[in-house]
Order: sequence, then structure tokens, then C-alpha cells
Amino acid sequence: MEALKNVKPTIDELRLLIGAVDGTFSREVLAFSLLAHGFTKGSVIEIVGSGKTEFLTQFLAENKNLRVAWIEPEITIYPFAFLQRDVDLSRILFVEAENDNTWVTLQILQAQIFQVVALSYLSFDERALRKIQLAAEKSQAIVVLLNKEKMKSWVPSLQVRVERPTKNDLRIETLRKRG
Amino acid sequence: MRVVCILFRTPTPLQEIGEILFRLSPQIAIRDKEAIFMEIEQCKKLYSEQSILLRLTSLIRRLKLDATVLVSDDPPSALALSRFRNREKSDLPVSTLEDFACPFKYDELVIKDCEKVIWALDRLGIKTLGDFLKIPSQTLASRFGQLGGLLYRRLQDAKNLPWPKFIPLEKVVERMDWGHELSCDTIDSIFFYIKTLLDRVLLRLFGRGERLLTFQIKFEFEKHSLLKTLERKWRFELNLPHGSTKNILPIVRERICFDLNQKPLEALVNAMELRVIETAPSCLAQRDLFHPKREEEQEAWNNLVTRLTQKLGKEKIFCAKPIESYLPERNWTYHMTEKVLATPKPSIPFPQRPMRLFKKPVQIQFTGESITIGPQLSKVIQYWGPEVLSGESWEKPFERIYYRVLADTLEHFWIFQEEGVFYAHGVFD
Repeated sequence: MEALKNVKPTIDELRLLIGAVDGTFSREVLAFSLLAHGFTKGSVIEIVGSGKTEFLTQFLAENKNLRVAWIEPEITIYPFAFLQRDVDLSRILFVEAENDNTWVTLQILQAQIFQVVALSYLSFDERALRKIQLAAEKSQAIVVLLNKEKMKSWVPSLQVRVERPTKNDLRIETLRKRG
Repeated sequence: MRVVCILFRTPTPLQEIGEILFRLSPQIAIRDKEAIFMEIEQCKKLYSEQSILLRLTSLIRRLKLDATVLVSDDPPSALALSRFRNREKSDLPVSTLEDFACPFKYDELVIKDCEKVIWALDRLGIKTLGDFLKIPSQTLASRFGQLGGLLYRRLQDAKNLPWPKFIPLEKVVERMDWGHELSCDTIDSIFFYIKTLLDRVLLRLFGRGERLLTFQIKFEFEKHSLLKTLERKWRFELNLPHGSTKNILPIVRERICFDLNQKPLEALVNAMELRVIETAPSCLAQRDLFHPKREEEQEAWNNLVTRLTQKLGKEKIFCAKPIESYLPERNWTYHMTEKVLATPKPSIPFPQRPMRLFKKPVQIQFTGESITIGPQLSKVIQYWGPEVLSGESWEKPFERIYYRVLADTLEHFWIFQEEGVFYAHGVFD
């Protein structure tokens, strides 16, 4: 029993090893007025609901230095709406990915020039999502999945539902927060 | 004056090498099939003599050339000294007077006269240029004629020689012929040569202050094969200009490999040609020492956009910019530039526009308090409006009455009425 104890460290010991206790392992967080804990760099975030794009746009308007890649299977986003919400269009690259969404996303993350990668209505399998998560960690980019309904995947570290009950209000509910 | 002379020992395309060197100095001259001269005194604030020698040596190694590089005070001295390395100018043999007679161009008549002077000097026992300079200058004209005096003056000082003008070729084309015995049949050997061609083309363009935008690669097959067409061509249109082989080669490789997998080579490749079709001006300014990362980011941006464009198509990758139009779907346009320019915020306070706009407005049906958009039936809870948009009377006049509608699914639709029919135009997502 004593020998087994030596081989198998406790959870606290493991946390200490990865620096989770003293905070050395903690990642940089970008502040966001609508979300107390902000968005963590190098993480995969999922936003669902009827106010998801508005919510992300608000984040981009507050963080003006971020370069954004906006990937959709078919472009439905209205660039003029970004301008109205104080987001400069010159820092957004729009990509219509069709069937090559995993390849396109990985290429963009590997280029390491975008701090935010928005994947709007794109479907990925678990394996592809894991690849994207690793690439996001490496490039320290925030990958935001904009979906109609919540995915059944363990990859997103933060899942938020944003609804719009009135003209100007957003109702935000954190469904999952890990780390 | 300080002059670099690059003396080639094997036949080399000097015009192309001259274009590559154009970035180092604008004063370049070519001696037929043999040497290139470059004046570097005027550029001494940009680089030292030592650094230019290192650059040239590395360039010669990179292009796999057989040449010697030497710096001297004037073109004929540099040429003569590079023929006989490790010697002083005064120790050079009198046969090098030919280089002083016509340093930039091989002139047969002048060389014949010069040979007579050399023969006469030999008869007098004068073996070196140092000995020649010891002859009293007053006696030169009577002993060796007009050429003797000219050679004497050039030996003392040839700095004021007029240099022929160097004009870069109008079209940039690089070609490689191997002949039948060395023909290529594998993809790897072909790419080895494509890299060399691409390297040379980009160096030439860099020398001219340009970057590559569109080019064509042509394979020429052996002439005695039974094929109907003896060549195969690929045209590459890069979305943004490039100046590095590292970025272009993967794109070329991907495309040619894909095509060769679909339709393999039917005969041996005997020759290859890379032709530049379109270029873009390159920034010749000095590097930004305070923000060195900016250049790297720009290169990464260009590389990414080009890779995505090659795979998805030109229209699928874009930046957007606003344009003046009364129609909501027409008030922005695609554009792609290298430099990121801030777009101005619209000055007129429009009511808020939806985040998503349908590609084409979808016709909708109202049934009492319900709304049917496509297959979806929703109940209308609240609406805001109207906002009337009209205009373009000079082209295709329109008048649309817009409303923002909140459905029971908490979705906000942007709908409009035109000629009595309702359409959904977008979603406040």
C-alpha cells in the first residue's frame, strides 16, 4: 500500500506539479464587461443562443487590438454591422470554408497572426476539435464556436448561452466553465 | 572609387546575375561572357567592403557558380588582378594590358593593336606593368603609338572611364535545359530544379525592387515522344505579392503534385521554364528596426492568404470595406490588400443593422400573429419600426419598409415590405 502511494500521486500533488496551485500555470485572460471571468487566451469557447454574434462583437469592440479570422461555411455575416458596433473591419479576415473547415482553421491558427478565430455554424468531429484545441493553445488564440445549439463535446472550456429577450438586452448564462 | 569585379570561370548568364546585383549597387557593367563590375564607393554607408565580399561569396555559392571576387580602385585593375590573384598591380604581366585597353567590351581591333604593343614591350625586355610605368611618358607615343600613351594613362588612373549603361531585361524568364541524358522523371528531381529556378527569379525581382504576383511554369518533354503536345503549363496567380521561395514553393508543390496525381507525366522532362507574368513593387525602404515583428507578421499574412486562396478560390478569402449604397446588401465590398488600413465609422447614425444578412431576401407569410419564415412558424411578440429605405432612382429604384420583429423563439428578424410582399432580410444574431 505504501509502495502504491509512492507511485500514484494525489490530486493535490498533481496540481502542484502543473503549477495549478501557485498560479504559475494560469493563462492570460482578456477582460470582457459582459462576462466576469473574461475569455482565456488559448482556449476553445462555445457561444449559443439568439444573441451570440452580438455578444462576440461586443467583446471585439472592447478589445480593439485583436486580429480576427471569421470562418463560415457560407458568408452570412454582415460586415457593415461590425462598423456600427465600433469594430474596425480592417482587422477581420473573412473566410468561406465550405468543406475544408478543419484544414482552414488549422492553417489560420498555425499562422499565429490572429488572436481570435470565430467559427460560425461549422461542424467538427471530436478529433478535429481536439486538433483545433491544441493549435489554439500553441498559438494562444481564442477559438470561438458560434452554434445554434450546444455541442456534445468536452473540448470547449467555456460554454455560454446568450439570449436576447428585448431589443437591447442580452441574457447571459454560463453553461460550463472549466479551468 | 572602389570597384568589385566578379570574374566567371564558366559560361554564365551575366545579364541575369547583373539583375540580382542591382540591389547592391545601381552602377553595374558587364564584360561579355566573362565578368561583372560593380561600383561600391557610393554605397559605403550602406555596407562595408568586407560585408559586400561576404554577400557576393554567399550568393555565388547559392547559385552554384564558379567565380572569383576582387575589389580594386578601377575596373581594368580589378579585372587584371582577379585574373592573377595574390599579386600586386605592378607585378602583373604586360599581357594584362589588354584588359586596360578595353575593360568593358572585347574589341577585336583594339586587341590587335594592343598585341603589337605587348610584342614590342616583350622585345624590349619589359615583363611587368611596373616596368612599363618606369618608361618615360614623353617617349611612349613615338615608341608605341597613340595606344601606348592611352594604356600608360589608364594604368596610372582609370577611375574616369565611362561605364556602359546596364539595362535590366524587360521580361523575367528563367530556363533550364538538361538534354536527353539528364531528363527528369520523378517529382522530387523536378522540384529540386523548380526551387533553383524560383530562387533565381526571386533574386532577380528583388534586385529590381519587385515581388512575384503571377507566374507560369512550363515543362517541355523530350522531342521524339509520340505525344501530341510536347509541353505542360501551370499558371499561378498569387493573391498577394511574395518575395520568398519558402512561401511559394509549398503552393507550387501542392498544385503540381495534385495535377500529376490526376494525370502523370507521359514522357521525360527535358527542359523547364519559369516565366514571370505579373509583379508588384516591393518596399525598398530600410527595415523597421523598432518593430521587427511587423515584417514577419506581414509575411505570415501574405503566406496564409495565398495558401487559402489557392485551395478555396479568390472570392472566398477577403477583407470587407464599406461603400456608398442605399441598399443594405450592397453597402460593403470585398477587398484584399497587404496594408491594414483602418476603415472609417459611418457618420450617419443609422438604426442598428442585423449581424447576419441572408444572401437573398426570403419571402415570408403572416398569419394573424404568426410569421412563417421558410419551414419555421413563430409567434410575433413585439416589433419595432418602420424604417423606410429608398433610392437608386437613377438605376433600379426601390422602396422598402423595414421592421425589426421579435419572435417567441427570442430571435430578432429584420424584415421588409416591398410592393405589398414581406421578406425576411436578416437576423439580429
